[in-house]
Amino acid sequence: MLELKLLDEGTVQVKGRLDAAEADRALATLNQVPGPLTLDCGGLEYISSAGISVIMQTLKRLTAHGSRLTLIGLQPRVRNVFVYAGLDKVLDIR
Amino acid sequence: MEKAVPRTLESLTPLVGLVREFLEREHLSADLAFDMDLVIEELFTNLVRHSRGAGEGSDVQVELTHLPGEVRVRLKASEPSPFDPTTAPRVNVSLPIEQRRAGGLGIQFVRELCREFRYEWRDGVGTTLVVMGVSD
Repeated sequence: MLELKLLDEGTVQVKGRLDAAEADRALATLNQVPGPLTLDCGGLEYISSAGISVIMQTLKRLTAHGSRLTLIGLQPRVRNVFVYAGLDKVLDIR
Repeated sequence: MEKAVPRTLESLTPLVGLVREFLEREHLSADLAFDMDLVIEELFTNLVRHSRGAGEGSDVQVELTHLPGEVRVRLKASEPSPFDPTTAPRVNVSLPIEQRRAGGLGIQFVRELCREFRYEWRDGVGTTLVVMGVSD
């Protein structure tokens, strides 16, 4: 189960599991945020390549419009997946 | 331990349950759950997405086995012709983001997390086997 919650302007709290079953819904939600966008991932317990694809598409959309994407609070195992994908070098992860 | 699940994304939730049950029964660390979930999801969704028409709607048999120092994950699915994930090209994760595509990352993760990654096809059934190292 994945929960996405708009906390305030430009910040989305992500909780639960961002897997292939939830990826389409996650992308549709994030596409509604014009940016700059901060994803508070403290409650993100799991992510797969489908979830990484959502983040990549969001990053591409925002950078194409001169905006930016920031990820905060990544749990170590979730962060590892970003490292496997090589995204730790191109994303603003704090 | 094994479970047959429909070849749809809705099967991911019962597969997560299968991993938890397996780890508890085998007295393995719950810390293994994340990596096992990731490997199983990537292999399973590969079957769902790329084997359309090849046993679509049929079940996938997922088997989990604990041996000393390792966990074996085997997925068996009906496939009229071989569909070998081990031959998928490696993804260049160093490319600029504008040139990156998400495709192939899942198999990249499987390679990252598994010490063995094999596939065989016989009589219309494809079997993918991965071996993950564990601390007993």
